[in-house]
Amino acid sequence: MKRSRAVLAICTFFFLAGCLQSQVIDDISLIQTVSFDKAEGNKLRYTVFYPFFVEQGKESEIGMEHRSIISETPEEARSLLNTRSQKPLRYGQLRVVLFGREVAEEGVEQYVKSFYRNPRIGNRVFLSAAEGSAGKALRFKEGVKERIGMYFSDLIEHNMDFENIPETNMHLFLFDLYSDGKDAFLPLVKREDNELKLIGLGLFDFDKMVGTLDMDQSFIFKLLLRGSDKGTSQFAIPKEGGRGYVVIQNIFTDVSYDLITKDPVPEFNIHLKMKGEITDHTGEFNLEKEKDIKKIETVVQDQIKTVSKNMIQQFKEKEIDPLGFGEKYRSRTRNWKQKEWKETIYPEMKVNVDVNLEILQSGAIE
Amino acid sequence: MNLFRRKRQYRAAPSSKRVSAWLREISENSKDVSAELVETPFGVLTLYYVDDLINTERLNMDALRPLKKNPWTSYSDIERIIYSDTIKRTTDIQEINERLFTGSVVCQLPSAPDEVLMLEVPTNVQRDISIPETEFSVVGPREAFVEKLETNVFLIRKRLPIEDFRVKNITIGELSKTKTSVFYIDSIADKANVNTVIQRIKDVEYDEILGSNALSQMIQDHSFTIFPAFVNTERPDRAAAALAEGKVVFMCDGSPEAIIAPSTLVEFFTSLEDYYLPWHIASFVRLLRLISVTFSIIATPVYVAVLTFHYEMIPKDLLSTLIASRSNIPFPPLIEAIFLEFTIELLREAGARLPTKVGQTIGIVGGIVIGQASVEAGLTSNVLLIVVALAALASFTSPVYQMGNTIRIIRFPFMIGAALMGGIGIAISFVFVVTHLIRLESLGRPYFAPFFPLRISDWRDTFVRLPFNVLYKRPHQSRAAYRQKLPAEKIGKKKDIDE
Repeated sequence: MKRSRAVLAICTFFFLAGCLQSQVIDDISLIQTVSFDKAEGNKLRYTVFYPFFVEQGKESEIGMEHRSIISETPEEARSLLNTRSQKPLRYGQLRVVLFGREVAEEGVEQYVKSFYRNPRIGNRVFLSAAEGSAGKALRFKEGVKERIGMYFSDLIEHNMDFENIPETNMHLFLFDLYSDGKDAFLPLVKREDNELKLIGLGLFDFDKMVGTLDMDQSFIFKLLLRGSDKGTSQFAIPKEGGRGYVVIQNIFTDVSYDLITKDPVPEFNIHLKMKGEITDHTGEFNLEKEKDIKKIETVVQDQIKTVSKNMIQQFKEKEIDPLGFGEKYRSRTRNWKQKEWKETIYPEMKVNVDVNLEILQSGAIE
Repeated sequence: MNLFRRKRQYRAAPSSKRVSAWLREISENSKDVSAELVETPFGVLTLYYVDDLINTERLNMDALRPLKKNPWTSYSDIERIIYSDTIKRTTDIQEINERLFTGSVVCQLPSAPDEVLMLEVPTNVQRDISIPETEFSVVGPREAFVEKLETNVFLIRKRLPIEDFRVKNITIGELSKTKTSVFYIDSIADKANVNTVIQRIKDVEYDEILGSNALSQMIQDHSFTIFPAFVNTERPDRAAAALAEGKVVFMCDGSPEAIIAPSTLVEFFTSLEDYYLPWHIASFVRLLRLISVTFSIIATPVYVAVLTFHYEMIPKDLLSTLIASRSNIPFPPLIEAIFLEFTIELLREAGARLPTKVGQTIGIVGGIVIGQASVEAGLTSNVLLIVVALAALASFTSPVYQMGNTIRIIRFPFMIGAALMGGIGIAISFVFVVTHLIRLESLGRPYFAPFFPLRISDWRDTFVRLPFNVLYKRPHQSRAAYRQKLPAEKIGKKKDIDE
């Protein structure tokens, strides 16, 4: 009895193995980047980018192929594309999904959900929006062409890790999307002179893109969102007969939101405690003098304050809340009603920004 | 059918014959049995002995010279003249048979030809005590067991010069008459363990016992398992340490290995060097061994699984390396992996069979030339070559040779599992192995201890080797009669020099 059970178990193991479909990596094409654009009718132009690898010893000759197809849904598109590709196309190595502006403005939820549902695709895939056509933005003839799949995801990743783009991926995007008191955002890219570059953030109202932030705003947005220990930004400082500039690298920033009153309208105090380093300076200030440093601090503080206030005002006008005031309000009050918040409370809400910049150092020479 | 059923068993010499006739017969039948007529001033006597087994010098000194000087007439006179505690008078053919062939001289008087005197004068031919080969350690004693049981007993005994250290001798094997000794420390070792070992050894009915390792296979609890049941060692210090832990050690005459019972899985990955080195280093080395064993088993299967099923798991920076190295290989990953593993096994086996110097050359030639050539011919990918070579290297880290062999074999089911079902296949194989290990027993004691049954206090000497003041208890597994290694009041106290 025992032995027959063991034999049965082993047999099951072998027989069930037949049900599995093996996908040896060199027998499939791994899609690394997908882009969505509008096409005629209610259809979608769907472009996939996948690398093809040549013989060993000639790894430098890695090539990138792209194919595009017009279809209604991503899965249908994949199946149609398979009819035209040498090897079966698979999503497992997907890194970036790029939405053209038109698609982003019409709503991306259905497409993102389709990827989200696919167990082979990780939740940390980057989503991104493109200024103009997404497919064209990625179709390069030379230069980065070979590795566009890798190139694009590296571009977003290092900007997120070390520069001014706040952390974002599919999971965070969907979390913000479905959250009651917060709206989503995505990095925004643009094709410019045969170069792909990040130009800021796209702001979403639910799943539709309604506005953008440029890179400088994005720096401050990143600080306001969660605090950060990364990022660099340039600020203008007064100078005799024109403007000088100072570049401040963020060393550590802590942000705290205080809800100081709830009635009649909620009022938030945002404290931005920022420690920075001057990495570049073209003005007339003497960086060795405490007084001058203080002056720079005041000027920059005021600028950050203004930009923040304007940004929050812009959010209010667009009726979006990417900083998540709703979530903060909800966590500090009872009887949360999303509709009430969105329609009456949020537009009335007051926000004070208080920036405290401390410049710790200004380089090694001095 | 009768042909197959007929019981053929080795027959001992018939005891119905008369002793004198029997002795004459065997000296005629077998060239190496000498019958020598010795004339002395007091009479004639016949000596029977096996030439190569006895020490003729001692025979002359101890027996013949006194016999020529002192008057004698009967066996009792001789017994008095020859001063030896091994001298014995007998008429039993069975007994003569046993002792004649283990180095005794049979002395027969013409006046009483059916009664004989027997005197043990065995030769002392033996290999010198040499350095351990398979369990070499950089620090620590450089003595290894030899083929002679008495020397081995001495090697252990000198490490345990106490009355409590007991040696029990059992002779087994109808043909080989292998002398087997069972060692234990009476006040520490569990009685049940001692009795089980002695009982199992006594019950062995196999006629030719090749040695300690063969015997250990005959008396192990589960004969189908791939895991070795008992640790075997060629180091007397390890045997003594095991005895001090309350274990039972046994060894056969003629094999330079002692078997330690009961054993746990973890003991196969410990070396006595762990105790000679400082505990930090010992712990590091031990962890390294355990990790490398896991790596050795898992590495190739993971390669197969990832490349066959889980392409989404590959980090993006590794992707192009992996795909490019595989792009012109015509086989699925499993065949590729088995091909390479087979090559490595071939090299290992060929290296082990050939003389040392040729073996080394073969290793280098095979490793570099075959490896490189098969990559260039597009039969295997160079990534896999590295994985397989590393896994092979890692499998050598087990200090007990038998376990190294087990690890070498156990990779293949994992690999097939990986090729059939990917990660789930590896997981299923792993579950099979773990359940098997949980079920295994060594001398009726759990083999997978201290993980199952869970004995947290024994973990001090499992993954790591903590300092000696923490290792004050013998492991649970040996069921020692008393567990403390220190006087109870000293536990937990450490004297500093300047105190």
